[in-house]
Order: sequence, then C-alpha cells, then structure tokens
Amino acid sequence: MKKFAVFIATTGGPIQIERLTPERAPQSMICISRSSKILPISGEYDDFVRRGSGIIEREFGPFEYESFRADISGLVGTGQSWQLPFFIAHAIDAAAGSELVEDVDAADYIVWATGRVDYDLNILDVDHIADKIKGSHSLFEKIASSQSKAVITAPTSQISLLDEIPDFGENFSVLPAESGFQVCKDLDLNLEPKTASGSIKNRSGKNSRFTAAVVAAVIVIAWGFFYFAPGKTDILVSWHDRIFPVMGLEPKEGKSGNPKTTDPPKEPEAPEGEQQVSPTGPLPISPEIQLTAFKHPSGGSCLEVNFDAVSPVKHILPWNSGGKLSVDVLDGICRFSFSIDVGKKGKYVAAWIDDKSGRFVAKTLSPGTFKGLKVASGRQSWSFELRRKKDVSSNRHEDRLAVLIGDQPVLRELEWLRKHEDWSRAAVELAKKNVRLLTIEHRENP
Amino acid sequence: MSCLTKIAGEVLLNEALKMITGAGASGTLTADFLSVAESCAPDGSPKYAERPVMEWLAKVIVGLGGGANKDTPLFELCHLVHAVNCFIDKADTADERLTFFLGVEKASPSVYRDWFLSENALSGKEGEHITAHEKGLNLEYPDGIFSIRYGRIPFLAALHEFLCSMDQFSFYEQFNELFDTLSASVNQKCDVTFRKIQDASNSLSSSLRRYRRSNMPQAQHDEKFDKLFNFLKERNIEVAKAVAAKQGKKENKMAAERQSPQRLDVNTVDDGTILDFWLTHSFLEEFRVYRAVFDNFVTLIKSLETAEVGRNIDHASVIGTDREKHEVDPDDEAASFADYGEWQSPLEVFDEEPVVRVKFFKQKSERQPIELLMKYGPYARRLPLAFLRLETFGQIQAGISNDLRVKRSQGDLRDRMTCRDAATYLEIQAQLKKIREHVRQLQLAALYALRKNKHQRIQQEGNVVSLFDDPIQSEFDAARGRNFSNEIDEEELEETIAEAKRAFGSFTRAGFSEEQLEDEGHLEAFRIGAGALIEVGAQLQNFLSSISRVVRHDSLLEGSFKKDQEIFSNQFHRIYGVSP
Amino acid sequence: MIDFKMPDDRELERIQEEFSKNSWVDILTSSLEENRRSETISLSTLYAYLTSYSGVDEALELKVRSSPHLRKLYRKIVDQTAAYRLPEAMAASSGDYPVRHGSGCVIRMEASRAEPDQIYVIIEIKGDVDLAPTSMFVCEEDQTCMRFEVPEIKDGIIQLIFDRQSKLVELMMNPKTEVFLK
Repeated sequence: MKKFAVFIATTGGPIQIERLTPERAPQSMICISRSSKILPISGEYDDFVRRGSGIIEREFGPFEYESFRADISGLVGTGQSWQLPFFIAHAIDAAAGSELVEDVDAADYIVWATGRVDYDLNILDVDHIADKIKGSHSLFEKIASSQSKAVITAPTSQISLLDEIPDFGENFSVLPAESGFQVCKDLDLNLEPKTASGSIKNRSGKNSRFTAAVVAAVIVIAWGFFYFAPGKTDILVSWHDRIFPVMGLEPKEGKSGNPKTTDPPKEPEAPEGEQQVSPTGPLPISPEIQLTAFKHPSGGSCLEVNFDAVSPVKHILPWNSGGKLSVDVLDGICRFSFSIDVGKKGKYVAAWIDDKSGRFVAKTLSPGTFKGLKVASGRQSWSFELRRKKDVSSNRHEDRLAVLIGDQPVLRELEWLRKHEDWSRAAVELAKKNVRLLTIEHRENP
Repeated sequence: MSCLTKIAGEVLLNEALKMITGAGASGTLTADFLSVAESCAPDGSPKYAERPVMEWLAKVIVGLGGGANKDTPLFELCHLVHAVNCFIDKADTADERLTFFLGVEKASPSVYRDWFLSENALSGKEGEHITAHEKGLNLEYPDGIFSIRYGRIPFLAALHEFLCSMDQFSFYEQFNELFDTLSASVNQKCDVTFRKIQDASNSLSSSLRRYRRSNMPQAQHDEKFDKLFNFLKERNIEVAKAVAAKQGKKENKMAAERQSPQRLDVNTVDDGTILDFWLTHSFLEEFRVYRAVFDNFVTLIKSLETAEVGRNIDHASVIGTDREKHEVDPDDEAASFADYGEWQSPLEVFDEEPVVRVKFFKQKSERQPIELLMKYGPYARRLPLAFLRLETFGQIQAGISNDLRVKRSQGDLRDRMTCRDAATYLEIQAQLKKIREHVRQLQLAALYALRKNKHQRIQQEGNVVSLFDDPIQSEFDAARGRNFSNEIDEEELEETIAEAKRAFGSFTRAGFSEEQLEDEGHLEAFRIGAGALIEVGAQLQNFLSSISRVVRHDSLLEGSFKKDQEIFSNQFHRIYGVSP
Repeated sequence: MIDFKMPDDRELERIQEEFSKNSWVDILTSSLEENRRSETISLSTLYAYLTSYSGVDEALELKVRSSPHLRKLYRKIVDQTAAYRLPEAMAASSGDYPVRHGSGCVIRMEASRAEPDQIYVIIEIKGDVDLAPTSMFVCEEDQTCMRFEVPEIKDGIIQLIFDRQSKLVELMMNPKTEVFLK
C-alpha cells in the first residue's frame, strides 16, 4: 500500500490534508484537524466535490455517501489553488493500492501541490508560488532528512517558478501538472474502482474501463418526424450497459468484442413508450442527421483524443433501414459528433445536454447557432464527450441531448423544454409550434 | 500626605462618585432614560435627537412637559397608537405596532409621514375616521376630533419607548394590552371614542406617577432648595435692614411689617446673589462648581416664575370693560401658562433638517461662543454679570477639574488657578458683537434668498406685483408665521435689498449658492433659519444691552473683570487646597 | 436681576415641587452631555439586534439572560419576526436525533462519521429561498433563547457542525425547545 501525505501550498506555510471521510451530511465541508471549526472555503469545496458543478464525484464516484468531510491542519484562505492538492488527495483515496495518511513520517510520498483544476481537469495558473515555496522551507528540510520522497507539483506553465526550491537531492522530484489525468498517471495511481472509503462496491468489471466503460450498447437513433409522425419524440441514440441489441440487430461478438452489423432484422416491436413507428411501416431517414463516433486509435486513449494529443479515428455510424441506425459497440468511443444539415434556406437550431450525471462535456458549442437565436444554414456540427464511466448506482442520473429545429427562433422553446422531464410529451407540444425535437438519451435495457 | 494631595484626592473621588451615582439621582430613572437615548441608527447616530426630543422626554418623565396639563403627551400618544392600529389593520396588530415604533431606524418626521401616506394608499383609509395628509393625521371620533403633526411623532415614539422600558420593561405587557384596546373593531367601524382615549391616557398617567414616586424622591432636592431659598430670604432681610437703616426706620416697626401677612415684599435674585452664594457655600460638594450654582439658581427662578404665573392665574382679574368691577383689557402679549419657562435655544433649529443644509454658523468661531448664551437665553440677559462669570471662570474651573482628573502637576494647577488665561469680559463682549454682526449678515442673506425666490415665482406665475409690496420685516415675520406690515421707506428698502444681495454673495460656505435657491427644500431651510436667526440676534442684542445697563463703560467692565478674577482665583485656591 | 414675591406656604410647596422636577430634568439632560452609558438595553436596540444580520453580540445576550423581563421580550420579538418557526420536536427514540418540522423547513441532525462526537445540524429550506435565514434562535421553556449565526444557504440547505457537548446540540436534543429561523 503506497502511503501519501498531501500538502496544500499556501503563503502561510504548507497545510496538510489529513483525512477525507465520506459523510451522511448533504454538503462537503473542510474542518481544521478534527475540530468543528469549518473553513470558509467549505462552500467552494462542496461545489468542487459535487456532481454537476464539480469534478470529484464525476471522476471518482459515484459514492455511497452524500459528501466528504476533509480535515486539514490549518487555515486556507480565499483563492482556488487548493483544488489541485484536493484533487490529488481524492484520487489517492479512490485509487487502489494507495492511501492518504496523516502521519507524515509514515508516508512514502509527500505531495506538495498548488493549482486550480477546471471542469475539464486542466490545471491552471495560480499566484504567489514563490511565497508558498518560501513558507514551506521547513517542510522541505524535514522531508530531505527523511526516507520519504517528495513530489512538488504546480501548473506546467509556472513550473519554472519551482526552480526556487533548493536542491534537496534525488528524493525530490518536480511534477509539471498539465491535467488531472496526467498527474494521476504520473503519480502512478491505479484508479480502478475499489472497495474503500465510500466508493461503490466492486462490480463485475469485465467491461469496466475508465476511458470507455460503456460497452456493448445500442445506439438507436430515433427521428422526430414532423411530417410523417407528427408530435412524436423519437430517440435517436440510446445505449445499454453490456447489451448490444440494436433495434432489429443482434450483436455478434468478435475477438475485439465488436459486434458486427448483421442483416436488417424484422421490424421489432417498439418498447412501450420508447419509439413510435408509423403504422405504415419503416420510414426512410433523411440524410440530414449524421452521427459520427470518434474512437481512439489502437494503443491510445480517450484522454489523448480529448486533449488533442492524438487524432481520433472517425466512424460514421451507418444507416439502417426502418429509420434506425445501427452502430458498432461503443468500446473505444471517446466523443460523438452530431451534425445536421438544415439546408440552404436555414433553420433555427438549439442544442442542449440535460447533464445530470455531470459527465457530458460539450466540446464545442460554437457556432452560437445552437442557442436557437440565429439562423443556421447548411451543415452544422457539434461534438460532445461520451461519459467514461458507467453509472449503475441506484440513483444514477441519465444524461440526454435535445436538439430543437424550427423555422422561428427556438430559444424560448428550449427554455420551456428545460423545465419538462417528459420529452415525449414535450415533443407533442413543440410540434404544435412547428418545432421538431430530436433526442439522444440513455435507455435501460428492459 | 500633603494638603494638596489629600484635598485633591477627595475632589477626584467625589467627582467620580458623582459620575457613578449621578449625585444621588435614582439609578433606575437615569438608566431607563439613557437606554432610550442610546438607541442608535445603523450609522451610529442617535435614533432620537438629543435636542429637542430627549430634552422634551426628560421633562415629560418628571412631569414638567405638556404645558398646562402634564399628561397631554400621554394623551397624544394614545391617539397615535390608535391611528397606527387602524392603519395596520392586521391580525397581528401588536407586532406590527412594535415594528412601527421600534423598527424605525431614525425617528424623524419624514419617516413617519412616508409610513402613514404609504399605508394610507395601501389600505384605502380615505374617507374613514382617520386620514393622513401631508402635514399630519386627523382623527375623528364620535365625540371629538384630534390632530397629530408628523413633527410630533418622534417625541411620542421616544415616549412610547420609555414607557415600555420603564423599570426593566416591567410595564411592557401591561401597556401593550392597553394599546391593543385602542384598535378598530373587526367590522372596521370605529368604536374607539375620545373618552376611551382619555381613559387609556389616564391609565398610563397613573403608572407613570407610580414610577415617579418610586424613582424620583422629591426629598432628594429639598435640602438643596432649602439652602438656596433660605439664603435668598436671609439676604433680603439683610438688604431690607440696610435700606431701613439708611432711611432711619426703627427696627421694631420693620419687624412688624415683616410679619404682616399682607406684605408684598419683593425679593431679588441678582448677579451678586449668585456669587455670594457660591463663595459661602462652595465648601459643600453640590455647590463647589460655580456653574452648578448658576444652574441651580436658574432652576429656582424657573420654579418661582411658574409659581408667579400660577398665582396670577389664580388671582387673574376678569377681562372686560367695567373698571368698577376691576375688569381689565386683555393683554395680547401675555405668555400662556403652557409657554412660560419653556425657553429653548434657537441654535437647535440649525441642527435639524432642512436647516442643517445651510452652514449658517462655523462651529468653533461662531457657534461655540454663543452656545451658553443661547442656552440660558433670558436668564443670561437678566443676570449678565453672573453669566459672564460663568462664561469665563466656569471654563477655568472645568479645566481645574480636568487637571485633577488627569493628575496634572501642582505647577500646572496653580497656574490655572491664577485665572491668568481667563477671557476678559471685554474680550467676550467684543466677540459677541462680532457674532452679532455676522448674524445680521446672515439675516440679510436669508432675506435675499427668500425675496429672490418670491420674485422668481411671481415672474413665473405671471403676476404683476410690485417688488416693494412687503416690507423686509414682514418677510421674516412671515417666515416665523406672524404677519404684520410696517411702513418702510422705499429707498431704504432698495438699499437694504442691495445689501442683502451683497451679504448673500459674501458667503462662500455650503448652502449659499444661487443654484441651490432653485430647490424648494433649500428655501425652506432659509425660511426656518431666518426665524431662528432673528431670535439669536435678539438674544445677542439684549444681552449686550443688559451688560451696558449694568456696567456703563468699558473701563468699568474691565475693572469688574479684574475684581472677579481675584475673587475667583482666591476661591479656587481655597476650594482645591492650593496655596497661591 | 429678577424680582419675585415671597411665597406663602402653599406656594412654597408648589415651588419646591417645581424645583425638584427641574432638578431632575437637569440631571437627566446632563447625563446625556456626560455621555454616560446605561446599564440596560433599550427596546429599539434589542429590536434592531434581533431583526438585523449583525451577528451574535455576546455582551447583549448576557444582559438579556440576566433579566427575566428582557428574556421574555427577546423571545416575543424573535417569535414575531421569525421567517420560520419550528415548534417542539417529536420525542426522539433512543439513538436518534429529534427532527423538527416547520412550514417550509426541516431541521435534522446527523452524527459525523469522522468524529462521532460531532453532530451535523442540517437545515433544509423547502420554501422560497428569498427568505434564506442567517440566524437561528433556540428557545427553552423558560423563555431563554440563544442566537446562533448560520452560514449561507446552498441549494436549499444550511449545514453546521457542533461538538456533542455544545450548547446548541444540548438545546436541540431537547425536543421541548423551539427553534426560530430568520
């Protein structure tokens, strides 16, 4: 078990993150050394942990308990440079084979960190690094005379400032922090889910991978036909955990685990409430919609794709008859690109991710076209990340994508839709206003 | 221990005791009063203005305010409570009433006016028995009517707070229950009558009387009164003896005259009385300070005058034309019983809105030197030398007290006790003359401001009215609410107006710009200020005249000062045990 | 110079009475000039304290606790001006903590897993969060109330943590106490 002691670098001296404890209370809090004194930055910490606003639960959860209590050794003032050390502490806590310790003498590694972490896990600049180094001299000296190894980490763009640290020998290493992923990787943290400290119990993890845990899902693209099936919401894409069936397709697993496209199936019975099909039979799908999956190349990772380190491999999801799309298994898919051709005349288009799990990341929302206030003409595209971990917790949140298309500005309709959970019914209402609704959402395999 | 240290130590301790115990004042009374005074607005300023609100409250508490009927303020308060109850008109009337009286941060007329006018609009109270208009409230009862000006409400709010706070809030519940009965009934028909208000007022009065009995023992001041009054009696007997001796009357005849119940002896309090009393009684702690003696005599005079007026009322002749029945003509100038003894410094006006917008007086050089004079007003005028002694030697003595408190050296004490640095009477006179001239310039400037606005209004309204319609004096009288016209020379008037314009232009201080005269609120400041300036000017003139009557030449005034300087110096040495 | 007629006994009595009153006025007004402090609290001061967001004034609270009348008044004003009222709780079963329900508000307690001797006090506001409270008053049966400041509301929840031995926890554990939020 690798033991880590983590310090937050402050101008008043290093502050240790002594302990992280999952709690039943709804809000995460930071207290000073087991006392009931709460730090003023607790609110920000709660946002940092919480699903939707923050990254901790998104990256390392879901958790059994609602919140965390962090005990730290001293005061931390305003600012956000505590984020990187806390990210690291939570990563340590979540990782298998590693442990956050309070006793510095017992630690194998002592991490001294400063940096902001944004929603995409980029590590951003902070102030007063030189003062923080000055304030931590006695800690550095203590480490230098111990058996522990020190890892000093700060944003990559400011790494030169760490030159101020005297040479304490080979036990000291400097780690430029570019992204949360990279830091975790460089710290050699095994972030497989583990049975510890409130994280979920171990699941049968055949298909559980950090980068593309959604495997063998079915993507069904349902199409809201205004002309042929007015007032209906058709699901464009859905995926099931571990289940391959595509509407009308049965997967056949190959060595790589990728199902192959089979012959067009008979028309299946539409699951109740899920998809409406015109009683006249399968309907052709307009080539307006295109869904492209971006996979990582063999040997690569979604991280590298999403951070533009490698070029993704594009797979345009093939059309199927009957108004449905069949797709390859989603293993290896890092990102979707959704594009729509609204023709030369143009349409108003609004796109929205109902981001309940906090895992979708809208990579591009440009052009501003997709807010529904401007006319879009020709082919417009928009890409978004696929969530990387399957959420099977009992209170899992389902993410959804909605696209509204109309001949008039649709911003108001979008605002209206945000307040309505039932998109099938919503589509009926929207159709009355000549607004087409397309959705992509996760469906549970019945 | 040296004599100086011992005596000085005693003085210091006594001063401290006086601070703590209030020279024997009831702790509860002072604490209750001060707690109301300490109520603050969020900016730290007092919620209730020290002057005139708290001073008025002090009088009401002791049973002096209210004019002829000292319970009048309680009566007014009950009317106000009834009005507030009716305007609130909610189930939790008591709570909302509390918000009205306590939730206001600064007790000012405009705050209450805004409250009533907005509530009026909201609750549609027009046409009902209570109406709120721009100046105040009108209350119509089945058996009477009553009005309350908004300007009165800060006083009544302070009174409300004092009553509820009395004696550690022990009356709070009782009074709130009483106030609850002054609500409109459920069906909105007003069943509160004038009589009911009076009964409520009597109930408050009864409680307040009980409070006074417990916390204001009269005996506390009887001893002081006896000393003062007996001194006056004995002094007058001696004066009478001396006069009689000069006139060669026999002693036994004088005694006979003294014992006659029909004797209408006139006793006198003059400058010499006060000085003599102090010289002979300053060994007593409560009369050690000359200012305290002066204050006590002023208090005594006020009390005597109240009694004198009371006697006049009791023995008033019937007004009429039948001289054989001893009927007399009505005297328009007679002050009412309610007004007598209610002198208030005109300077207080300058601290309030809207007058405070105009910097009429600079604090140190123009206001401070006349602060005491305006405070004592007619009493200073009637006791000019005693007042001059107060102005100059009173300050010296205050300095000595301070020196003792901060333990200055004996050398410093001796130095101060020589009264070398005392302002001379001539210096004070010169300063007052200078300020009198300044006040005159202010009066002219105010005249200009008021005339300019009037002229502009005339032009705007298109009326053709001669500029010289109203003489100058009536401008001020109009500002003060009195209107009478005087004959005035037109050429002189024109000259005065020009002078007024120059006077206005000569002031470069805040509030004296042409642009500001466009603002109605600013003009109101000049209107109100003008009235106060006349009073200030009159007091200054009267006081200076009274000095001249007592001491006809400056050289005599200087001589008088030097004599007093020696007297006071010697007495200070005696009191504080310091050899010269 | 002032002349006056020698009064008879009845008038003298009246003069003495007037003199006494005037002397009292002098004493009261000079107490203003001397900037003396009162030992008690004014009604306006108490009202302003209880209806403002100025934080806990320990000195004032101590003064209030020492006077039965002030305590009663304090509670009355708190009750009257509170945004949320939570009356007595249901008696807690063994091991549980009382849960208090008010209109639009629930207060519950949870023991900390990290420090079992510390208790979370969790206030959930269900109504209009424009009325988000900043102070909590806990009042005992004898009208004694204590004021606690609460942190900013977040997503409808206000969360505090106290030692088990703290006064607040002691008060909250007693189902008979009443809680007011404003």
